Amino acid sequence: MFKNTMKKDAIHKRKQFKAFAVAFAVFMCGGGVSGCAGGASDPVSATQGDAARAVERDITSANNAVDFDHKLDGYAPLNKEYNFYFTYKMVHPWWDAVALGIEDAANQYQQEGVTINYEYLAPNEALADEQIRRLTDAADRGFDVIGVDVADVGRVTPVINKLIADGQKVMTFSSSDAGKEDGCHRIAYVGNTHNYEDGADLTEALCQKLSYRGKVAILVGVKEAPCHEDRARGAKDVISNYPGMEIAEVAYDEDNVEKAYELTKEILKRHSDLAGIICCNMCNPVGAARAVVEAGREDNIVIVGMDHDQEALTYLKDGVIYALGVQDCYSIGFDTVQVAVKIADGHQPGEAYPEKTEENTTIIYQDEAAIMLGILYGKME
Amino acid sequence: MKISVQNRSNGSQRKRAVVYAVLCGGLIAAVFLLSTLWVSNGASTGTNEAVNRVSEFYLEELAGRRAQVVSEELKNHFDYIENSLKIIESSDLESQEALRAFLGKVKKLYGVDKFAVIDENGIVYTEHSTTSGLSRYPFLSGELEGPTVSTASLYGAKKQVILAVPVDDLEFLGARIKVCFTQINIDEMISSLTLKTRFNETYCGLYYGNGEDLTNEDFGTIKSGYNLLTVLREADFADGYSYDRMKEDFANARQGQVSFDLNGSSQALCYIPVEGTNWMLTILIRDNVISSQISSISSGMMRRGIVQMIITVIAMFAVFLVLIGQSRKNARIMLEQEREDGNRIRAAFAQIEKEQAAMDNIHAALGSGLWSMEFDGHAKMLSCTWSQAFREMIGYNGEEDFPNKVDSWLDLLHPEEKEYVINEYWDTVNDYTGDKTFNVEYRLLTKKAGYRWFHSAGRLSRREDGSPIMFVGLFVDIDDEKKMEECLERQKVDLQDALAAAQHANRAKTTFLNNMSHDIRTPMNAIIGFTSLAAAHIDNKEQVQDYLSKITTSSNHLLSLINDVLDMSRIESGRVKIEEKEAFLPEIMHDIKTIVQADISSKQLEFYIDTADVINETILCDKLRLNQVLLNLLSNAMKFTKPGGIVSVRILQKNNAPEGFAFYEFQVKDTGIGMSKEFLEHVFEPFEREKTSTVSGIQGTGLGMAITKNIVDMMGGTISVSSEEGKGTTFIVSLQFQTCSGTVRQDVVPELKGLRALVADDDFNTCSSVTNMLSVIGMRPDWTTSGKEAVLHAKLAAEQGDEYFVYIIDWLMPDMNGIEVVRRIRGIIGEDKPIIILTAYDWSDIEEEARDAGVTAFCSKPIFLSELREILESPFTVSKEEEPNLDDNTVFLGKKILLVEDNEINQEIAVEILKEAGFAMDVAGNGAIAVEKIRDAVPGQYDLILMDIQMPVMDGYEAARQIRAMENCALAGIPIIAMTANAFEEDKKAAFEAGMNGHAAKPIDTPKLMELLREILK
Repeated sequence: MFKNTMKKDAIHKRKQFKAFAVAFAVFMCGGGVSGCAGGASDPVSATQGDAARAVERDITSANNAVDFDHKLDGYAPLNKEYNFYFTYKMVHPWWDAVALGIEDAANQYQQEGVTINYEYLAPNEALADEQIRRLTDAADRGFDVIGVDVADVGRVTPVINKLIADGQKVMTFSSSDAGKEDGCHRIAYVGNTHNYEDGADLTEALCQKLSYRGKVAILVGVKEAPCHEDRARGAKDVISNYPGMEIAEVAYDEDNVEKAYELTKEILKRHSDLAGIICCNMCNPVGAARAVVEAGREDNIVIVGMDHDQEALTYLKDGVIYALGVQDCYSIGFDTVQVAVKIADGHQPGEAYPEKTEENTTIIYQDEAAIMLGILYGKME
Repeated sequence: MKISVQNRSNGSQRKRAVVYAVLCGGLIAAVFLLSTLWVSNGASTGTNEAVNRVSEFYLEELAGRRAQVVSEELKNHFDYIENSLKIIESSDLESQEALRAFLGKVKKLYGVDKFAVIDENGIVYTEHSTTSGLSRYPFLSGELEGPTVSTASLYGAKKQVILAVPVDDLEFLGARIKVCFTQINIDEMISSLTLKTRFNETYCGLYYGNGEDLTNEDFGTIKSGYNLLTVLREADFADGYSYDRMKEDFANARQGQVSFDLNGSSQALCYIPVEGTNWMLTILIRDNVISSQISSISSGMMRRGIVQMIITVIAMFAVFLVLIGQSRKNARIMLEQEREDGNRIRAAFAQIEKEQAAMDNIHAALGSGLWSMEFDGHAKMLSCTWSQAFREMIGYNGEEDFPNKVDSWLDLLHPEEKEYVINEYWDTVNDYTGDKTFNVEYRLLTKKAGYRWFHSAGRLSRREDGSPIMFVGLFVDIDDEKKMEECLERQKVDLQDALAAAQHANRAKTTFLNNMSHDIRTPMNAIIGFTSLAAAHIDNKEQVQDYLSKITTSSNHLLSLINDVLDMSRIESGRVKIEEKEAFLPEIMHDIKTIVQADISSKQLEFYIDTADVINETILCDKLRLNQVLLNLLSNAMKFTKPGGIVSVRILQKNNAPEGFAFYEFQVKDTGIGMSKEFLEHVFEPFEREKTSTVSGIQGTGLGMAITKNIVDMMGGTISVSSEEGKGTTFIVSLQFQTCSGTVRQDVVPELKGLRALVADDDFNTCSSVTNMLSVIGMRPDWTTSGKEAVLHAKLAAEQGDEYFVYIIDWLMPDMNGIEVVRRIRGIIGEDKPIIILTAYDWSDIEEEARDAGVTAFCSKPIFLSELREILESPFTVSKEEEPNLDDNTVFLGKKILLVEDNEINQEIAVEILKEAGFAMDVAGNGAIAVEKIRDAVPGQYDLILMDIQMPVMDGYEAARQIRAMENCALAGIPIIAMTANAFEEDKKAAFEAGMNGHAAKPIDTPKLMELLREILK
C-alpha cells in the first residue's frame, strides 16, 4: 500500500513538473523574442519566425513528447504469468529507455497480480545474424511472445515468418518494423511508424534554418536498419527539394557515438563549408556535436538529429544542435508489453490492439532542451 | 437663584468630568496601543532571533541524523547483498528460473526495489527479467574494486541509487557472475527523510559534490533538477556565510551551514556529506516562512490586541457612562436616603438625648458615673474621660478640679487597694484574649467625705489582634452598702465570736459544773465527814477541835467558792456597779497587805511590796473593787506559788495621765507554776481553769480572773498577763483614777535637809523607791541590799563623822535579818538615831525582840512618800496606844438583839453565837413580826436588830423601812444590821437605802460580826 502511494505521488510530481516546464518555456520564449531581433540572414541564429513556431510547438510538444503517465489499458489478462522475449538491435541507451517502459508495464501488471517475466536482450553491435540467432534460441525456450526490433528487414523477416510458422507468437517493436508490406508475418508492431517523416521533418527544419542553402552531411546508424534508412531517405528527399541545398556526404556510424564523432570530424575536414549535419539515429548527433564543437564550428553548422540522448539534449540546450526528434521510447516499451500480453492471450490485431501501435516523435529545439532534460533526466540546467 | 447657580455649577462639573473621562479613556487607549505595539514588536524580533538560533541547531541536528540514516540505509543494503551472496547455493544457479526464484526471495526478504546479479556479459538478472545492462549501468564499464554506490539517471528522470558489490566465485549458465546489486529509488528514500509539515518549511535533499541534484523532488524553493551550487550562486548570503566556502565544502565533502536570501525568501541550509558516497545531504529551512507565520501571528495578535483595546476602551467608556448614570441615580437615592437618614438620625439623636438624660438620671439615682479610655494599637492610652456624674460623686465640680487623666483617679485610691486596683486595671487592658473584665471595689478619697467605697467595672472593645481600643466602665458609690456589709460582717464575726464564746462558755460551764461538782463536793465531803467524825468523837475534845478546824477550813473554802460564783453572776447580769469614792491609796495597799499577810506566812512565801513614783495618793476610786482585783491577783499568785516562792506587788505611777488624773500600774508577780500559752488566751474567760489546777490539787472556781478582768474593764483599765510555765506569772493592771487632793507634799523637810539616811533592803526596788522619797524630802540617802553592808555603812559613817540620821532597815534580808542589823548598828551608833524596820510582814511576833534590839519604829510596806514624811517628821518617841481587845465581849453584855430570821437553823446558829457573846436574844420569824415586836416594844427594849432580807410575809428591807418609819423615834432609830445571804454590794446598798446601819453576810463570820456589832453599839 505504501509503495502504491509513493508511486502515485511520484506521478503527480511529474505532472507538476510538466506544468512548470510549460511556464518556464513561455518565460524563455519571451526572452528569446526580445533577444533575437534581426539576424535573419544568419544561418544559425533562429529567426523570429522560427522562434514563434517553436513556441507554438513547445507548448504542445513538450507535454506530449514522452508520456510517462502510462496506465494499463484495462485489459484483463487471461493468465497470471507471462514469459516474453524481446530482442533489439544493439545495446544502447535508447533501448534502455524502451526497457523502462517495459519494466513499468511489468510492475503494473505485477501489482494486478499478473507476473510478467521477460528477457530484453541485444547484442553489443547491431548484427542481423546475432538477432536471428537470438530469435531462434528464443523460439526453443517456449516464450509466450517473442518481440524483435528488426535489425535487418531482409534477413530477419524470414526468421520471423518461420517462427510464426512454427507457432511462435512474434511481434515487432521499437524502432524498426518488418511489416506486411515487407512480407513479414509478425503479429503486430509497437513503435515508430514514421521514421521517414521524422527524417524529412528534421531536414526541413534544418533547411529552413539554413534558409535552404548549404551543404549538409547525413549521418545514418546501421545500414539496413529500417528506421535509420527511412530517416535518411526522408532527409534526402527534402534536400532534393531545395536547390540551394547539397548533400555533402552520407555516413553510417553503426549506432556508435565515437564513430559518429570520427565521421563528423572527417566530414568537417573535408567540407569546410559544411552548413549542416542531419543525424538519423541517437548516436549521430552526439558525435557530430562533439566534433563540431571541437572544431569550433558550432556557430556555422546546423545540426539536427534524433532521439533523446542526454548529451545531445545538452548540445541542443547549448545551441550546438538545432533540433532533435524525440521519440516516445517509454510508451513503446509500455505498449509493447500490453500488446504482448494480448497476443499471448491469443488476440489478434484489430480486436484488442492495433496491428501497428504508433508512437510519437516530437521535434524539439533549443528552447525546449532544458525542459526535456528535466523531463527525461531530471536536469534543469 | 441659588438653585440656578448651583445647577449651572453642577452642569459645568459634569462636563468637566466627562471631558476628563474621555481624556483618561484616550490616554488609556493610547497606552494600551503603544504597549501592544511595543510588546508585539519585541516579540517578533525576539522570535526571529530565536527562530534563527533554533534553526541552526535544528538544521544541524536534522542534517546529521538524516545523513546517518542515508548512510545506514546504504550500509544496510550492502549488508543485504553480502548476506544474499553468502546464502546463495549452487542450485540457485542451475537455471534461470532457479536464479529468478532466489532473487525474488531476496528482494522480498529485504524489501528492495530491485535485487539483481550481472554476469560478465552485462546480462542483468532480476526476479522477472533478464536484460542487457551494459548501457544502463555505468559501473559495468569496468571492474568493480569493491562495493560501489552509484546513481543512474534513467530515462524519465528515474534516478536510482545502485549499490553494487563485485562477485568472485559464482557462475551462471557458463558465465561468471560479476556484480550483485540493489537498486533504490532516491525519491522514495528522500521522501522518507523529508519532514512533512503543514507548511513544509523543512526540506531534505541529496546533491552530488558538484551540486547536481540526485532527486526528483523540489528542494524548498529550488526546483528539482537544478544544480544547487548554481542556484545559490545568485543567493544573497547572510553575514558570516559565503557561497565560495559552501562550494568548497561541497567539493571537499565538508559539513557546513549557510543562511541566505533567495528569491525573496530567507532560508537556512545545512549540508553534511553522506558517508561512503560523494553525496551531500542537505536540509533547508525557510526562515521567512516561519517568520511570516510568526509575523502573521504577531500581526494577528497585534490586531486582536488593538481590537481588544478598542473594545476595552469602548467597554470602559460604556461602563463609565453606566457608572455615571448609576452614580447619579445613586446620588438621588442617597440624597433621599440622606434626608430620611437625617430625619432618622435627628429622631435618633433626640431619642439618644432622652435616653442620655434618662441614663444621667439613672446614674444620679444609682450614684454611678461613666468613664472611658481610648488606646492605640500598642495599648498606649490616648485619652481618658471622666463623666461629670463621676466627678460629682467624688465631690469635684469639673475638669479643672478633676482633669481627664488617669492619674487624677489613681492619686485618690486608698493605699491599701491602690496596687491591687492598678494591677487589675493593666491586667485587663493587656489581656488580649478579652476574657478578663475589670471589676474591682476600692476606696477613693472624696473631696468632702473622706474615703468612700466605689465599685468600678468595665470592658474593653478590641481590635482583631486583641489590642485594646476603648475601655468603658462604670463607677458606683457602694460606700453605704460596703459599710453595711462591713457592719454585717462585723456582726457576723461578733455573732460567730459570740457563738464561739457561747459554745466555749457552754463547754466551760459544763466543765465548770464538773469542776464545781468536784469543788463543792470536796469541802462538803470534808464538812460532812468531819462533822460525823466530831459527833463520833464528841468526848475527845482535842480531836473534835481538830475536826472542827478542818470543817471551818472547808466551809471557808466553800464560802469563797460560792462568793466567786455569785460575783460572776452579778457581773454578767450587769448588776455590779463601780462606785468611785475618795480613797487613800496607801490605806488600800496596806489593807491588802494585811489581808494576804496571814496566807503569805502560812504558805511560807517571800513577799515584796513597794511603790515607785507615787505622788498622787488620794484618788477617786471604787476601793472595794480595786481591793477585789488586787486580792484576786494576789490570791492566785499565792495559790499557784510553792513555799519559798516569791510574790511581789508594786505600784507605779506613770506620768502620762491627763491633768486631774493619775495613771497607775499595779504589778502582781509570782514565781509560781505559771500558765501554758493556750490557757493564757482564755485566762480571763469565765469558768476557765488550767486543766492542771484540779489535778494539782489547787482548788479554784475558775472565775477569779474573769471577775478581775470584768472589774478592771468596768473601771476603764486594762489587765495583761505574761506567764511562763514553771517560772511564774506577772499580771499588770493599768488604771487611771481621778485625783482628789493633788499630789502629796514634795517639799523639803527643813529639819531633815542634808541629813544622811541609809536604806537597807534586799529588794532593789524598795531601795530605789525609798531612796527617791528621801531625796525628795531633802535628805542624803544611801542604800544597800545587804544587811552586813548596812552595818558597814553605819560604821563607816560613824567613823567619818557623818553619821546617818535615820536608818530604814528591812526585816528579812538574806545575809542578815533586820533585827540583827539593828542590833549591830545600835552597837555602833548608840541609841540616838532612829532605826526604822520596814517590812511587809506582820511584825507583832517580833516586835518585842526588835524593840529590845534598838528598833525605833516599824513601818509597813509599801511605804508611800506621805507616810515616810510623816514618820520622819513625827517625834520618834512612840506612845503606845491601847489596842482594842477584839476578844472583849463585855460591851455586849445585857444588850438585847432582835433576830429577824425565818430559817430556824439560822435562828439557832445566830442565837447561839450571839448568846455566847453575851447578847440577850429575841427572835422574829419574818419582817412583819419584827415590825410588830418593835412597834410593841418600849424604847430601849432592843439595842439592835439583825434583819434577814429574804423572808416570807415581809422581807427585811420593808421591815427596816417600816421600823424607820415608826413615829417613835427611839424605836425607829434602833440600829438594824442586815444579816443575809444577799451578800453583794448592791445588797448592801439596798440595805443601807432601806435604813439599815450595817451588813453582815451569811454565813456568819463571827469575828467580823462581833466587830461590826461592837462598832455599831459603840
